[in-house]
Amino acid sequence: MTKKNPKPAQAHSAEVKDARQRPVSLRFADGSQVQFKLDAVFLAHGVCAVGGWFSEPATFSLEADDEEITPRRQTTVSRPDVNAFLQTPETRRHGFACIAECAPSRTLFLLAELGQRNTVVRIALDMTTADEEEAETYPAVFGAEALRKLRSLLHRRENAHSRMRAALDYAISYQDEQGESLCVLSGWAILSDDATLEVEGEDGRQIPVSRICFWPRADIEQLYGGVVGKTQRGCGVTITLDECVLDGEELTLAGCRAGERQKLCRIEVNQESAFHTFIKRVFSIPHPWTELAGIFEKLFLKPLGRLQAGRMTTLAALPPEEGVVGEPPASPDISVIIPLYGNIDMLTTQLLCFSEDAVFKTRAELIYVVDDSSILDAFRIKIDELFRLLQIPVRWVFGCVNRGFAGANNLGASVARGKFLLFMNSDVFLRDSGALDALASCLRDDPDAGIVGCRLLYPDGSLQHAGMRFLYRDALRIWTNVHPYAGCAPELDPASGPAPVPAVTGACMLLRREDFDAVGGWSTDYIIGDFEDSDLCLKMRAQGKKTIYHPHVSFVHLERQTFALLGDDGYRQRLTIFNAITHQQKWRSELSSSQGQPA
Amino acid sequence: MSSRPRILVLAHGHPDFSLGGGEIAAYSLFQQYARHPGVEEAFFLARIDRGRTATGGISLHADHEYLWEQQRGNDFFMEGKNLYATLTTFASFIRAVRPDIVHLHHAVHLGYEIIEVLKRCNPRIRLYFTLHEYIPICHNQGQMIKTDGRLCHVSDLDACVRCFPQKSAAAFWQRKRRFQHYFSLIDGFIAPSEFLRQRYIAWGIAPERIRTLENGLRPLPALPPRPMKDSRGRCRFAYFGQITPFKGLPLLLQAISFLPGKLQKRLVLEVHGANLEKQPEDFRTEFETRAAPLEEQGVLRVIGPYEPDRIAERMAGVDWVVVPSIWWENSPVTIQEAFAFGRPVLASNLGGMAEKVRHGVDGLLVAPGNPQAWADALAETCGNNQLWDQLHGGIRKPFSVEESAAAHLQLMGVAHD
Repeated sequence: MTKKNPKPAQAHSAEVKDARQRPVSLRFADGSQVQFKLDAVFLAHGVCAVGGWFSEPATFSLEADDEEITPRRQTTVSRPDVNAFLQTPETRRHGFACIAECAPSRTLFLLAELGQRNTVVRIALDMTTADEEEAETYPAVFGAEALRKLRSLLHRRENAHSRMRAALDYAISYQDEQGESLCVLSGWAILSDDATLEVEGEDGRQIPVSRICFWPRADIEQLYGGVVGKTQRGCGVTITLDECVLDGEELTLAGCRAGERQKLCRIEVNQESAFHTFIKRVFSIPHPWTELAGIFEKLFLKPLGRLQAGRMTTLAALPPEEGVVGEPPASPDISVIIPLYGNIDMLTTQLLCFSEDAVFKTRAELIYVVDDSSILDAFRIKIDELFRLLQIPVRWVFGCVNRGFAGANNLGASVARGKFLLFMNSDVFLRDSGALDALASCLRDDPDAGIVGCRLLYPDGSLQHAGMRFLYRDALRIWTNVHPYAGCAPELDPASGPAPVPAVTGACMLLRREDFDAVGGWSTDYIIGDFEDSDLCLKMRAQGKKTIYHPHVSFVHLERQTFALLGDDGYRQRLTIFNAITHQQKWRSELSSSQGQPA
Repeated sequence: MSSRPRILVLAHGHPDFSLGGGEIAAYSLFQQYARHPGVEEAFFLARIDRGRTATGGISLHADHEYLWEQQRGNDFFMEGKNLYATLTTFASFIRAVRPDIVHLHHAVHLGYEIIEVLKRCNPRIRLYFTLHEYIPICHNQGQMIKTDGRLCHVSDLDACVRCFPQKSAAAFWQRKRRFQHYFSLIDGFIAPSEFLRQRYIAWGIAPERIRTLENGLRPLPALPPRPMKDSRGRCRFAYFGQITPFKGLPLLLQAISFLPGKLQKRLVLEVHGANLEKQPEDFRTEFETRAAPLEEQGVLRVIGPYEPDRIAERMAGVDWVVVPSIWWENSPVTIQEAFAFGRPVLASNLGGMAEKVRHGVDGLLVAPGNPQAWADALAETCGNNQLWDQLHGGIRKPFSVEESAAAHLQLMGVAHD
């Protein structure tokens, strides 16, 4: 049994493997014996407690990896049961409790030094049978004094565990020309419930946290399992600062609790000079999908709304550049307004289709809104050639910078001279001659009609649009616009004639000029572009005007995902959810009331 | 037409520079129109690319023959490289030539914009368009063969995207939409075979707007049957044309290997073919592997390419002409030539071949791509003098260029005298 002596000064050493199942007896040369047993072995949160009894007095310590650990506390405990077993008087205190701090992963031994015999007994503590957090179930074994010590140690340990931790993954800022700014910080933080986060600038100034939101971060929660404050939604954290933070400034995130302030992490701020790049980075933060509505509403709705409004005011003031090829009709019935963004691949086909339509040639003016400076040059060359080839006069207007769907269409409308405005996407193609007249007479015949939309077909001939309706997505908590019957054969469309619908797509819709002006045109509240069409239909409805779907007029819609050009790591979907929140903030009751309407 | 028309023939190449079937057909029609009493004047304008950049310049090549310098444009949308030149140089050429009729062949690399420009110059110009292949229907060089080598029976957006995954369905929709626009300006379409005509009708050209008119065959001298010097009978077969994966030659060699040894000793196949060296390596290997043992036995004789005017010499020594193509073959000139020289034809029962050969009358039609069917056909014909005489007697004189030009002029409403 004797193998190794950690204390060479001692004459004897005995090693014992299992002292929990039954009492162990060690016999000595003189024929005497020592009996002992371990009753409880406890290990949790870096605290080890061992309780049991020895037939004669001993002093205890722990040994971990050949290293002796001095116990925090060792006590003798009165054990009448042991007195009865050993047949000793109850005044003899055979019980002991030994409490020490040690790392949990180590293999441990209890060392019992029998002073009278110059002997150390080394007892292996089998951690597989160690009780976790069950010290309280052995009050008789440990005794009141040792238990108190154990509790206080454990309490201190838990506090040490719940010390604050944080890291930031994103620090993105933007400032517009009016000086409006926004800085978004995002990462994770483990805090106790009574703690708050503060942000400090490089110069030590306190930067007020304008808004803060917590959200689940499964990865962090797994890493620090079970230590996240219960009142927060999770340890993911996103913070917005309205104060301007410049590029390269290093911010410090600090946790404050009961007057104690602890610096948690630092991050260098990345300032984006382009609004769309800023938007892309902000909406690339991987907030969980089902948390987005809450986070966006609380954090982004106001500040981004303010930035977007400021931006659109600035853009609207920029003087546009205009041009014309050929001679458009002097007083056109219809102005066809088409924004161009990303490329001009479909321009030739679109103009070929227009060139086949008699109404188009005599009574319509075509206005292209070049909403992308990178295509202006190629557009001007191409439009010049196409005019020579097809003799379709074209007006064009270039707004200097990308204004988005609404801004570009509003710019087109500002130069249009027609009594009717036909807003059309660059991937929509005239199919039936007489289509423009049919749509216009729908408005002429019904003074209560405000907007008329048409049937749109995919290139394979199936329905792409037959009116829109609103659908609530419970998991995301947003109202979305959906296209009923999309993908179906046109004959499956139940609409048999022009009829009111909740909304029609902005890919192709006709309005009277005065109605368009009366509602203030396309709303520029939506960033880059989403929901402007339903917004316009709802604005028209607020004026008492209906939105009509005309199933007898068909156009082809190639519906390329124009915005996919901006690159997509989920940011575009998140931005759509943000725009949906803007949309439902304005129209919540209208959206829910028209939900059941057939579309 | 009250007075004699001026006719301009427009082609993608001039036979002086490029000897393709389309170029030859266009040029011989131009020559016929020029000498026809019902035509006031005929002109020929052919695209050429001499690597002088896309100047778009037009120059006089010979009397009434012009060359138009145009580089390759956009093959997908059939857009000319230099649209500005089409709008200016070409338009002014048209105003100078003042054609009443323009006969287009193969607008490849010229750009379909020329159709719009022609009508813009003079809306009264009548436009006729001979469709030599399937370019408007099929982006795979107008072959209606899938990019994996299988025959394509119907083109639709999904099928086209499967062949060209880098293109979108939207792009193919636009391609067809643009072609339909330009084709709406054409007064009449001409298909060299009924098979090709039906393909275009299925694609969307109204049946009354497209007529089948065979390409005419140039005048060829008559040729007596091969004099027989031994008792082996009518046992000499010959293949004429390019050696490409679509022509079915390995299949024919496989068929010969199926034949009994006695028949193999009798049969001779001559291959008068070119361009094997330009083919993909796996095809070359397949051809050469199958050819080597047959050449050794003396069954197969690979003779190589020939000049078109030497065809009579090559035909003189054979009895049967084989056309084992696994592709459609819209209007194979080999079949016309074989008939002109009085040689019965064994051809795949497919596309234009099935139209030109009358089974059991002037030749045999064989199940396409089936080596056993070809072995059976060879076994049936090899040395069968009686069948040869019967089919030889059934051969009709092929449609000549004069007849073809007359038929074209009639279709265009040009008076005979």
